[in-house]
Amino acid sequence: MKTYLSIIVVVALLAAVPMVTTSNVVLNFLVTALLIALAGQGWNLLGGYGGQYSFGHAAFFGTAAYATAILQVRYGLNAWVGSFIGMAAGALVGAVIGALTFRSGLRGSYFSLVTLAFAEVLRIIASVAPITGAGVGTLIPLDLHARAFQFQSRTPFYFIALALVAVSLTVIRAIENSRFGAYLVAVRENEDAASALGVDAFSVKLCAITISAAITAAAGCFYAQYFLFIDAGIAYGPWISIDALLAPIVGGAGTVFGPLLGALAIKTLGETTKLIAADAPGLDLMFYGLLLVGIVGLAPRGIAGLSRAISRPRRSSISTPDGSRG
Amino acid sequence: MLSPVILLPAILNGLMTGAIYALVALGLTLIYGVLHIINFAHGALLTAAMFAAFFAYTLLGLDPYLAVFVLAPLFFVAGYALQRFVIGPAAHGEDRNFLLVTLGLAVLIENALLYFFRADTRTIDLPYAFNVIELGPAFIAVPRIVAFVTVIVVALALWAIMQWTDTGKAIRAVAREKLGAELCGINVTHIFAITFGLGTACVAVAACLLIPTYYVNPTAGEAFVLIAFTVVVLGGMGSVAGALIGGLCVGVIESLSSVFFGESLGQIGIFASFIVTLLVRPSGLFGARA
Amino acid sequence: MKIGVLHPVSGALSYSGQQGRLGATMAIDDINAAGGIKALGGAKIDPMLGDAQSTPDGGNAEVEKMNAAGVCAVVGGYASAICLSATQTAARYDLPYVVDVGVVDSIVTRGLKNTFRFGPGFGVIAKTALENLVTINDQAGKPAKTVMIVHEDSAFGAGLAKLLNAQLPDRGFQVLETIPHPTPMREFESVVLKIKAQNPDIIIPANYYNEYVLLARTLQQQRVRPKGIYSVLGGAASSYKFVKEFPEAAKYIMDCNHWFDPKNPKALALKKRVEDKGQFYTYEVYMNYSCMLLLADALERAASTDRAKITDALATSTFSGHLMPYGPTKFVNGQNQGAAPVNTQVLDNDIQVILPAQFASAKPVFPMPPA
Repeated sequence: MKTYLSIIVVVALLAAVPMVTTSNVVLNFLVTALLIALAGQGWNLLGGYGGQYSFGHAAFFGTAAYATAILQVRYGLNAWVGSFIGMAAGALVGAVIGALTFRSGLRGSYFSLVTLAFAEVLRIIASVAPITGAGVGTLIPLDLHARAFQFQSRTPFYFIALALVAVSLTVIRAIENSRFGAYLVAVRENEDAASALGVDAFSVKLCAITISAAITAAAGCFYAQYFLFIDAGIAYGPWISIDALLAPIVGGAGTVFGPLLGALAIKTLGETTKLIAADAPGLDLMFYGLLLVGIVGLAPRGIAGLSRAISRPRRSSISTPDGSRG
Repeated sequence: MLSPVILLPAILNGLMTGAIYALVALGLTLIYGVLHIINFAHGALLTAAMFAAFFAYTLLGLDPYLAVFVLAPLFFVAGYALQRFVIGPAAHGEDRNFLLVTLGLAVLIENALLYFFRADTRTIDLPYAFNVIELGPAFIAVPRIVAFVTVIVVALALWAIMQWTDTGKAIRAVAREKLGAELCGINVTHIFAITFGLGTACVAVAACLLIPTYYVNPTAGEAFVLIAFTVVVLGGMGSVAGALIGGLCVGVIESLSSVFFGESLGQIGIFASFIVTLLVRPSGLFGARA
Repeated sequence: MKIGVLHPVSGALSYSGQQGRLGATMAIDDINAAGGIKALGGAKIDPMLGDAQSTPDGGNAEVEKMNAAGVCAVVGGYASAICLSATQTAARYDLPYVVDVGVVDSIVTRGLKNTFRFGPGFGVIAKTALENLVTINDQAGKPAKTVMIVHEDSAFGAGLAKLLNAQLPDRGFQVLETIPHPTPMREFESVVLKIKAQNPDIIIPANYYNEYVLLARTLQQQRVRPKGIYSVLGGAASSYKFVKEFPEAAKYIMDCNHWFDPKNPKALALKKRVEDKGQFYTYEVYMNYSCMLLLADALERAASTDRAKITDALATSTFSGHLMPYGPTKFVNGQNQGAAPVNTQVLDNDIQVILPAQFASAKPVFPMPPA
């Protein structure tokens, strides 16, 4: 129980937010942050723990979002059922991409760029295929009932997003403490050595990308229900791939709370710079970029790494000696 | 559709476009080959260079083809400084931090341009922009031919620098064996910055070649980055010849698949050939084993 | 009293967003200078500017903030995807929302009571475009029989192309090919090659400004001269900027697009003021200006900042003091019934209205005279 205590505390604290404030601005802010945290948690499993940096998590996010939307709009399926199928579809895409790329032994930047290419291929297909509504996109009709996974108020959405994040935190913590988790980290640190010790690196990575995809896919389903409209650029665009990797890296890649911390940090950063810059177009994002560079300079191991460094100063931190991932 | 009337112009056009891709990719591949980082700020730097070329023409009346000789050195220095004083120190030598820092820089540069110059699309109208040379059924615009030739020259020059100059040799040494090079007395930090500077200078040249027929706004450079990534990987990361040939190949593939499958779907041609190549030959066409 | 002014002023759509913001804020300045909202004791309008950052979730977050800040209505959105999410969020709070452009018809057809669109949607635009194309062709003795459509592949271009493809054959035109393309495009050579090979009588482009400019320049470069270039919502075809910067490429291009009433002195006065600021008088400017006037009129009649009363006042609006050739406003299920595009043509380095006849300032030149 002790290993999960921190998760329980964090989730309980977040769950108390609606009791403190009824402001929908705050709730909406937190919902979008949780959405990014969820997508980022998926990336974190594969990238943070497994060392496989994907630039194409949009492939999983988008597939799930489209599956959820299309099943409802075209086949009249219930939104909740559709969301589960959407998650499964995202996981399947993850498994297929993983099987293809890991089988060919793609690593490092090559893996990163090939995932990006997969996401782009899906984006292009979605922008021309009739089933996705092609360029017009897919609009889920308004039906503000719980059974349709739509709510008049922001609060239920908030709790659903929080529940999803809670589940993802638990899953990642469980993996961290499992044999599979240990294998995954071993593969990250030195794949050849891990293989020599009898770890089936291919299966470990394949399993990781599938679970990773499923988690990010959950964020896709949630997005579809929250905004009710998707098109190819939203579903498969680079924005989500970038947010999904930005959050965990800023927060601390390979740590359970990294994605959540990072998502809250970058969203807060975005809002703060907006306040500072007032109404001048571009100025807020200019500060945002500047601060991002500054934060990396000050906290090279992410926010989680920073807090650890403060509590346990000068713990010898040997990074991967092999700077090249080529 | 298969008639030579359309096929020949399509291939020629692909080569012309591919040359620009190659040049943008040359910058990326150099940086990748030596620093082993994927530079996400490349597109934003291209945009910045296009703005520079635009203002050189509108404010100083400097023709883009002459502006090259000013902007390339200028951007070399800028790139050098950026790596030496910003990216290098902030990244602490970790891959994921390079990623974040270059991403952050991209956001910073793009939005600084938006803030200072607004979002207006800017174009310049040069007297020779509409001149064409007729090659059988193909009309090739003069600026595109100039671009093609320039790219070949730049690629050859880069290759020569890498082969024969001391700096070039040092760059290759660092690329191959960082620690060994350092032990031989090569200043690795300096070489890193030189490489980043060279990569940025390539982007400045590309900007001057693009501006006569293209436009610039704060997001204009983005369109070329994704494609340059594919070129870099196809050609093998770090390979100058690979980037050149890869760029030309991608240009032709894009042009032909656009003709046969349409523009939207045609883009798949590039990414699909990219994926297939990597799955079959994971180190790219010209790369050493990963 | 606070009014939300929402536009994508950063990101991919930032130019249009900034133009839209310009129009809306100029209208607010004018309303305030003329004594504010008189029914509310001369209350001044205090704009709350929002940046949708060119994304639907950006729009959504800004509307949340506007609602929390107590705005009594929101104007803007620009892109269809942003309008869809922003109107939906506003609907949660019964916050009246006036859509400035957003041409996708589902914005007003999905039953949101708070949403009003002053301008025309796809359906009307495509219908008008077709009717006017037939008229122009008939008047010239039916020289054109074949068309090619070049459109951008997101909601606006693809939606339009679908409607045109369905209806052109019934109007006696053969569609040789429909070419969708992504945004941004790096070059249009391949598209123009295909056009050249099939030699259509009319080219119908529907895309954003940058792509439109590249296409028109490439057509000129490759010496492609069809009988006519007839755009529908052509990004640059009826843009003063394009005409000024590329007079040769722009010559004789026709467009079916949003356009101000050229016989309205207020519209012309605003044109001069915008140009004096060094900006171009684009449709985003006068559409937003008009939307803001429409809202101010509703506020006068509602004589209240109560959202339900403002919504009612908008729903029953008969406002005709705007700059558009729409006649008196009449909303049915949130769509202004009089809203329609007009046809323009680039003639003598200026943009003239050629149809409908009651607003026309010139006669169409079709087919294009040889170079």
